[in-house]
Amino acid sequence: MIEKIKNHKILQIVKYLQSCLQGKESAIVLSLIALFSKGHLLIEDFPGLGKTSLAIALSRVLSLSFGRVQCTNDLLPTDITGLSIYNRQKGEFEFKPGPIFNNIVLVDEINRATPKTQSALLEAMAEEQVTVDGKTYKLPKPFFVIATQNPIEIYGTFPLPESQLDRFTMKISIGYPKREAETEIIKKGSLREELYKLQSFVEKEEILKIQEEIREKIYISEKVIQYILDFVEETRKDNKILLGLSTRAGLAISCAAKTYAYFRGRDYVIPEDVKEMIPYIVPHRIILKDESLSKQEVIKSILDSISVPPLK
Amino acid sequence: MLLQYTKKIKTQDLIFFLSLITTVIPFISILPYISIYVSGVFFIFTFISIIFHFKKTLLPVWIINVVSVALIFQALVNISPEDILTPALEALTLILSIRFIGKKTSREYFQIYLLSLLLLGASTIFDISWFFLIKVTIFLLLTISSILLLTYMKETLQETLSAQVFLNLIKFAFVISFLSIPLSALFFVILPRAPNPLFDIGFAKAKTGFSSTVSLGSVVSIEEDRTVVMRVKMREIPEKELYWRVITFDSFDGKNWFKTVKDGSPKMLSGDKISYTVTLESLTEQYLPTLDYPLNIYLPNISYEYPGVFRIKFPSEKLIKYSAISFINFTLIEEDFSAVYLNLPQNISKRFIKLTEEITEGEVLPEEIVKKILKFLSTYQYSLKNLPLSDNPIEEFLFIKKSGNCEYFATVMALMLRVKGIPSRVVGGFRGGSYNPFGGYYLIRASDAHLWVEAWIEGRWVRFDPSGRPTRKSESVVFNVLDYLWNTLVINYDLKTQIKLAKSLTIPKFDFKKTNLFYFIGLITVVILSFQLYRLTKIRKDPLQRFVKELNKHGLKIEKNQGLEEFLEKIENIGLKEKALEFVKAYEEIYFKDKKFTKYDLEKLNKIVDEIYEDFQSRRSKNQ
Repeated sequence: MIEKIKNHKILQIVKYLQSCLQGKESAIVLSLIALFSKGHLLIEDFPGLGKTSLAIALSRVLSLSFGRVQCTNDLLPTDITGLSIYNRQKGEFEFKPGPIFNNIVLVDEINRATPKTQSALLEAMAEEQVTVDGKTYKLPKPFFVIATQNPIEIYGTFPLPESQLDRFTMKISIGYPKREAETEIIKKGSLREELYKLQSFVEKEEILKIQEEIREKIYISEKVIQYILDFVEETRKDNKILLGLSTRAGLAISCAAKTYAYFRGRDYVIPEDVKEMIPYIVPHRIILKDESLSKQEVIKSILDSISVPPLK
Repeated sequence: MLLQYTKKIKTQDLIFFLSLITTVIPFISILPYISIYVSGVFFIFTFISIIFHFKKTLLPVWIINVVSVALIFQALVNISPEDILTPALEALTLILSIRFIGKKTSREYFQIYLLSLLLLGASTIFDISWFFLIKVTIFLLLTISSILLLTYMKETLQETLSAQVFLNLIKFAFVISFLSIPLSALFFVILPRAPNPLFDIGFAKAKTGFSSTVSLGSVVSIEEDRTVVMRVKMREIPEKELYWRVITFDSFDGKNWFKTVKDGSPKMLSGDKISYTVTLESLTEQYLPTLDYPLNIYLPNISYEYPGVFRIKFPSEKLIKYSAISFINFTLIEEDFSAVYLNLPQNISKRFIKLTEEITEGEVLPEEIVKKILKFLSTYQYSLKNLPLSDNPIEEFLFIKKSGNCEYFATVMALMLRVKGIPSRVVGGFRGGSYNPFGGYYLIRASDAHLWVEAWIEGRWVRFDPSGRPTRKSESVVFNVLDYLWNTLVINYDLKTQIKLAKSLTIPKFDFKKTNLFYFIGLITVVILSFQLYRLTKIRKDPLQRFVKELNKHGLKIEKNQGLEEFLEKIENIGLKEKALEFVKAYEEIYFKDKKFTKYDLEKLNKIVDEIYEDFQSRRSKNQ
């Protein structure tokens, strides 16, 4: 994926991140795409594969503030959003912002939190604001949530329903690093300390500018939109799929495709951008009738069945 | 793994064997007409070439060329005025077989196919039976398959091919052959035909189904010759009346029969009238066979000779078709007879005369004499083998061998009758024939040739057949019908038939006048032309279609579910990939930005496609 990136700025960021996060290149690119699409990222993976490192490194390099929530089943919504505390000196309630008031928020093991807390978090993600005691607080910009969940442990968890999962632009998994990368990691020991010392590479303003640029300047043709809608419609019609894609999903696909097009140094979207993003955007949003089938396979078969412009 | 191996066929081997079979077809056709040595050499060469092919040894091209030139030279030396064809064919056969020994690129294979085609064409000079059609069909299929294989190998540069691909190629070859049928049929109908054969050369070896001379004592055995002499379309008549009259003989010199009598006294003929049509397929030396006894033949340029013999005035190489009228169960009354019919050979032996007298002792009436002679001859054996071979064949037949063919029986009977003072003559022709109820015709073969006797008894010429010859068994009907159709529809198809067909074609009537017709044709032409032009400009207007087409030539097929850039990733050739990428980028930039393709854009895009095309052409010529 990295070899397709032609945008200089982005390529520099990716390369820099790669130097301190061995063997996570596609995860890096995908999380950047999610970030620049103003979306959020869900990482489904086993513990100890560098989810936190990824989040910290991102925040450092992009000079963004970083907050972390470790979810448990007794975590309260206010533990995330923050709460008003009585200030005796001032004689009034004072709002203490929670970890969500950061640019990059790592929500670890989101499926361990109770549905109540999950809803609070997801609402904050959607609205980009938090309401505590009748007062509304705007969240900082950019705002990017990296949530993780463990696919194996099920006891004492509250799996996110598909409707909630829809709010995450992408679901990825980092996967085990390659042997060479793993050797490197073990040789150098944990680099957590060093991650905090990483030089920032771009300013916060610049990130916002790029987000705006992608939104405004990248042209997505009607033909590509029709292609996306063809796909969306097929997922709704397909008899292997119980729940097809929402309009939000279509929107997420087009946003991610635009960002990817920008990364690839183009100011217009081509169907291939869409095609390459779909495997990361779609699977967690659909429910199959037969759970034993592979979502990736079903999606691929739909992609193979629809014709791509310009050759219709 | 093993399965995969067995399923793959080496293309080279396949082409080699297909070509080998291709050459064997014309070879088989001409095999009976060339010398046995040449056939032997052909077999040896073929055998060597198979060994060489598997051992991968190749004879240098110059040796092959030298040998080929030598063979042509040898053929030139051997050509005689009587037969220029056989040496040429023999040389052609040898050149063909030697082609297999050397290096075999597609050029050599094409030479092989061309030589085979020439040989197959040449074989029609000798044999034009309907088997030719089958041979040509197989030949066509094999050649087309081989050429397709050659092209496939060249284009894909693959040394093996799967059974599936092979089957597909064969299917394709079938389609091509099938498509060529209407075209060939059209050419068959419209191509001008020479009224005479192109190769009007003396055929020393061509068969004649019939000989107008009868010589006794010169051959030991007679081969059954299955050549079809004629087909006679008529109603079925009793077997005993099936005598086909060709020629008569009146003078015998002890060994040979001659015809000297040309005129006779006026005749009175009566009987059951039969009219029929004869298709004469083998020549009977200008003589025209008729059903005994003929009244008339309807054909221009023929002459009548006494008695009951017709001949054409000019020799013809073509098949002759004529209708005629004859009488069966006839009564032929002639008041007088020529003295020649009583002549005996000078060297006739006393023994023969004595034998005759012994047989007919005490008989005065001609009918009784005839009966006695017939009875006597019925004790003799009819045979085609172990014939009397001697200077005095009659004696040999009568007293030693006691077996012979119809010539001996007829000769002996005629001579005995003359000894007893009864005028007699020998009639040559055919006896019998198998009737084909579907085609409604009699088929007469060369092996039906026969000789019988006519005797003048009390003012009448009466037919006697002294040889107890078994009649031929009936034949398979289906092949006969095919044979008949082939001959009447294809072989006999000539200029006259063409003209007849052309005349029978009526011009469809249009209601409007000639000027209207002119406008109508003009309109259609304009519509077709503008449609073509529109299509051309449309293609030109849509460079993407051209682009896809060009890449298709490189074996790169774009799927409908593929994006253009995704598709380019498959391209291995870096140069081509770059060019293609240039095109795709330029195209997508306009297309996916919803811009209009300007004239300039189209020119630019078309230029890139042109470059890809030129690149393809130059690479291909380099490969060759």
